[in-house]
Amino acid sequence: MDEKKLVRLAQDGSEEAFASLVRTYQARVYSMALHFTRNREVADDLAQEVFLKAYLALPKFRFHSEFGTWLYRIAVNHIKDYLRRKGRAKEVPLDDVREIASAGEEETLVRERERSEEARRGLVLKVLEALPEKYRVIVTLRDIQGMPYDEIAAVLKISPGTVDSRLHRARKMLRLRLGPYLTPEGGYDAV
Amino acid sequence: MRCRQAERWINRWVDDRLDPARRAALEKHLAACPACRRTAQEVRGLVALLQQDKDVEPAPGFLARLQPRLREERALVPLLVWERWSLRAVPVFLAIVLVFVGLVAFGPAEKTGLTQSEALLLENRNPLTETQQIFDAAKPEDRNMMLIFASLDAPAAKRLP
Repeated sequence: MDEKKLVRLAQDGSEEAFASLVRTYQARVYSMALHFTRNREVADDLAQEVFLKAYLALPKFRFHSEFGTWLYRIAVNHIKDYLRRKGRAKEVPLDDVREIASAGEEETLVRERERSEEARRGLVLKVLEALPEKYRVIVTLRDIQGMPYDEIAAVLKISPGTVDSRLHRARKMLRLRLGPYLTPEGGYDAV
Repeated sequence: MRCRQAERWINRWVDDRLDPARRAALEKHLAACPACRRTAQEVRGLVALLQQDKDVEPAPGFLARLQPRLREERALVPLLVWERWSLRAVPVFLAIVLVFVGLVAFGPAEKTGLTQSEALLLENRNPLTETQQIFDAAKPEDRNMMLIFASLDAPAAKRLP
């Protein structure tokens, strides 16, 4: 059934229509929460709360945007509120990054390439977690979730130009902190 | 092309958002500039590491766990609406009380009819002196005339029920 029709039915009180919308978006919302929190239980709770909020706000939804965009906006704001309450947005000093990196390097010497990649990925996520909130959000939506620029702009209520410049700054911060750990051999090949 | 411009374009290049002309210009610059080539590799490495994640399904029974909470919220909705309105009603009630008190305290005073004596007293004149002048008039005709004029000046007497 057409999503707009489902939304209208849910607005009229159809449990089945809302359940169908939940089934469509639960993986996306849960993944978003998981990327921000790195904790399955917390992510599950947050995702449930996002759908509860959406359910209560549904009568006010006026189709000015796609339902998905509206739902992601609720999700991003809810997750940001949670992170602020938890006070997790702390900067990681560069020395700490090197320590994490060398621990990862030692591990990768004895493990296979996949594990090495996993270690580097863990390092990137650790540093990402320490970025200021607005940069962390933009990288999570674009690079981890693969959301298109236009949709990010609609979810965050900023212009596509701001998405572009914020993403540029965020990636630059990550590069400056992580440098050689971003390539498989820690060195550089020809492009 | 300057390296600063190249760095900005590298981000769009990695996201496949450069038009063909700019793409060609950037790739030409990258072939000649080791520093920008390194930047390009880092950005590509970063994005590749982050992009590995696919959407993850929540634990089984996500909807089954959500539905009782939705029903609970739905049962609370009328109460929530009433609470919201009752909270809004408090300031409205206070505003009405304040307006009423203001009208009583500072509103226009009720017009009171002054007697001739009160008017004379307000003008710092002794009403008894004037009355005395009437009764002191030597001729009875003068006294009668003065009483007639005085009664014309006075407001009409109210009949008490």
